Amino acid sequence: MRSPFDILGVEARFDLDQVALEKRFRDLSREVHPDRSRRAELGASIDLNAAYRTLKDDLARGRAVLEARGVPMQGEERENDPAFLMAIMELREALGDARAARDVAKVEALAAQVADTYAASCRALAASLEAHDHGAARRHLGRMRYYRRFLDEVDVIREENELA
Amino acid sequence: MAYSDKLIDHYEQPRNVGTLDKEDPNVGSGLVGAPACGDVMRLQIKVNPETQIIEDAKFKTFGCGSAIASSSLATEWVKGKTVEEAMALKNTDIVKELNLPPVKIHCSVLAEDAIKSAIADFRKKQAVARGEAPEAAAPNDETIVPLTK
Repeated sequence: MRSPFDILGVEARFDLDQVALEKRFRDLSREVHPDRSRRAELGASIDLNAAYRTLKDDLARGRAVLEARGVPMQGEERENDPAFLMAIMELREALGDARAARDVAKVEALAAQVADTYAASCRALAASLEAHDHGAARRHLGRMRYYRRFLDEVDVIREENELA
Repeated sequence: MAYSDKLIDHYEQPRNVGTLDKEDPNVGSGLVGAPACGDVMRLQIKVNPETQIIEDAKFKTFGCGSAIASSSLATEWVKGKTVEEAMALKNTDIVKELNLPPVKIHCSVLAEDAIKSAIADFRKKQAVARGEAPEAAAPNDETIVPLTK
């Protein structure tokens, strides 16, 4: 199977120019658009969309870089740092409390804090991929997933508050 | 795909949600995370040190329905068992009971790990109380990401 980088014809690296990537995606989309070409090319269009989704997303792109370098992703790094898990647990509890209390300011403060930490992890991921430190890269990817889950939960709460 | 009635029951009415005093020498706390999805689970047991029977168990899980149901079931199962018996619980027992789909098997693994980790914490506390040297904590090669409240 072709890697998402191959499909979009870009270098297999984490720090992709997202503006250039989007332009490339649009150009290629026009070429394989199922309306304009043979039915058989519907598959190519689906692959292209999936590849672009992967490369737009930090977590998925980080994994794709590791895959492209032949680093196995199964048996992912287990998070063994109790202090990290404790911090995540406390953040999730604080978010749960803020949700129950309908404390929008608290929810947003927690969200901003976690978003900052996520961004810092993402920079650390970029640096470790650059340095070919794959163990560290996998650890950062693992941690980013915990932050992402937290931010997903924030989105759910925001929707709730909008509906209320 | 349909989830089993038991799974939905545990998800909608989770048993033993809560917290035990983690400073209590008879309480063991296990905190585990699932790197594949970013879920976290805390499971605590309160053990009678004379009989080694688990008299109470509580959990708190931030995760999907299957993770919540797995930990809820785990607390129900360990209550009344000895530490030794609880140690023998397997994630496959949870999979069978809740009829977990293949993509959710890792949730049952998480619950098994949480039980084992809570028991390990309890045993470590007991060893310290008996004046035996506690096991050295595993070295950590990475600085902790600072997270303030």
